Amino acid sequence: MKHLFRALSAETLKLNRTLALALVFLTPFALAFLEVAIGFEYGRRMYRVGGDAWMTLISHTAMMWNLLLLPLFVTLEMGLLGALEHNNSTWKQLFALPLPRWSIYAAKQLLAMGLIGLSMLALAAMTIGAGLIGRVCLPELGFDAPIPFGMLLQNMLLSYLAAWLIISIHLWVSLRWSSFVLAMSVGIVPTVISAVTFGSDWSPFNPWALPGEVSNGLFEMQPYLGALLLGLLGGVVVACLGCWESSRRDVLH
Amino acid sequence: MEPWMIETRQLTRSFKDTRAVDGLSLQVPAGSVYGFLGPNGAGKTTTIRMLLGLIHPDGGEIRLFNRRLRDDPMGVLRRVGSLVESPSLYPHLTGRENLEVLRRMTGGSRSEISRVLKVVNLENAANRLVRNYSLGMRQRLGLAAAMFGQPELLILDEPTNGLDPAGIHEMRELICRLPAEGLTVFLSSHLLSEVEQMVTQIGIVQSGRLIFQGKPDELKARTRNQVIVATDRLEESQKLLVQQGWKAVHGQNHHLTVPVNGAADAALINTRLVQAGHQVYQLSMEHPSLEDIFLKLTEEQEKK
Ligand SMILES: Nc1ncnc2c1ncn2[C@@H]1O[C@H](COP(=O)(O)OP(=O)(O)O)[C@@H](O)[C@H]1O
Ligand SMILES: [Mg+2]
Repeated sequence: MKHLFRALSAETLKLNRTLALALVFLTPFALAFLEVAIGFEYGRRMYRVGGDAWMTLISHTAMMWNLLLLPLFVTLEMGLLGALEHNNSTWKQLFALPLPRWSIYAAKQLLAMGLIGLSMLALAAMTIGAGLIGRVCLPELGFDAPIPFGMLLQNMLLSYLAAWLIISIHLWVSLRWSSFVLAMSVGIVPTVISAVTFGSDWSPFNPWALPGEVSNGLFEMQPYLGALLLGLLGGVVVACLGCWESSRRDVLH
Repeated sequence: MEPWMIETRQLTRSFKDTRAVDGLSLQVPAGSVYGFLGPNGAGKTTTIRMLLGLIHPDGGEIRLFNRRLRDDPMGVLRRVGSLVESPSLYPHLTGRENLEVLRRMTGGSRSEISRVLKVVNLENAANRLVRNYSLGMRQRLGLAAAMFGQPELLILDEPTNGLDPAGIHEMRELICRLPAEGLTVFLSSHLLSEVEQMVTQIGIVQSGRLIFQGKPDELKARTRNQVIVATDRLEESQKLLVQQGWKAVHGQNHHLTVPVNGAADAALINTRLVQAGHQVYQLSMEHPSLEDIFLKLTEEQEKK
């Protein structure tokens, strides 16, 4: 445990001045910005008179995020975390330190989960911000209703937990192999596939569609527990496999 | 039994069908600067990666500080500092932050960061981004990282590689000071000349096998003196000497090199050449340099 905390504290220092850290806030900001732009441009069509403006905003944001942005963001973010070590050939230094290798891997895993969680918290805050801009600038849309914090946070939390599986998969791929192209392909191809096949029978078993499945189930009042558990437990299992594999492999670079 | 800092027994490791390291048995005495030498591809980096537990041997045993590495890797690695090939540094962090990463991982005091920065003379550049460091500065920061936490054994792979002569000189001075502080240094190089002045012990590998181990003087003692001769007709002179049983070699330069046993041989060579009507411009006797011996030894092995 002592080793894990040490490694984690070193990991956070390495994030200084990195794109990986900036993206944690830039990505949700881009989406919130898009939502505001949509509100100004198409607000009257999208937010029907008498409808629940906040729920419309939250579910729209959630779908854009969970189906498209989150899988791509996880892909890029994990790729960057891997590149940080591969590009500077630091594995030979890290793994020659008197720390068990699993603790170094586990610290990366926790960092990765923390970063994605942070970006989703930021997204929640920025979604509220977007709605508040609507309340002030576009009073006819109905954002003067109370903010549904409960739904917003529940949606964020559940889709975040469902994303653990892709976080673990991508982290393992990008830490294990030095190719950035490989890391990107492993994310982009399934994300496109899952967006196209969303709603199909096997979509709830596609790791890259799980956050969307869970979020959609929540809003549409359909069962989502299976997808949630698959994402959550699958994430834990893959993370453990990653720890185990990292401590046996040859460090050649 | 001698307390070896590093001892390997029949260490072996293959990659697909190349035997990178082949039955290597090294003994590194405490307090020495051990030069681990061999041409490119001889298996030096592979050996060093095994010593650090980065890759697993196919066979054989590794002992550091008289303990088996695999019995207690953490306990052993705590006492070792390393610099393998290029230094492992994060260019987007400052020099000090790079060491702070190490400090956080291994525990240790902030004053240790200042100490190693001072040893490698990087105090003034400590707060600059490593991205803007020169190659020599990076190498020195890599050495500082290796020395962080006061290890008893430093394992350095090609620490002078890619440095300009001034950088090599600086590195050499740094490393030469270490044994006085109680450190044992194990360093590899493909150029004996770059490390000759600092090593007290030499191991030479070729194709994964150890072909010499001992003190530099022992290596020198294994070779004979040689006579350097320049004449007006080198080809004919060579033929003549070879006919008479000398191993005269015509190298790149405009002279012949002939291994001899002493001054009497040199005089004899001179007489024979002059008697045969050759004009001798130059005749001198010298001991081959360590580098010559090293090159000759590795070439001989190559042919086998
Ligand atoms: N990762 C690898 N995969 C395949 N062959 C390798 C690998 N690493 C080293 N080798 C081979 O092992 C031999 C020794 O390499 P190395 O230990 O790097 O030599 P040195 O450091 O002395 O130059 C070489 O023939 C090299 O091609
Ligand atoms: Mg090498």
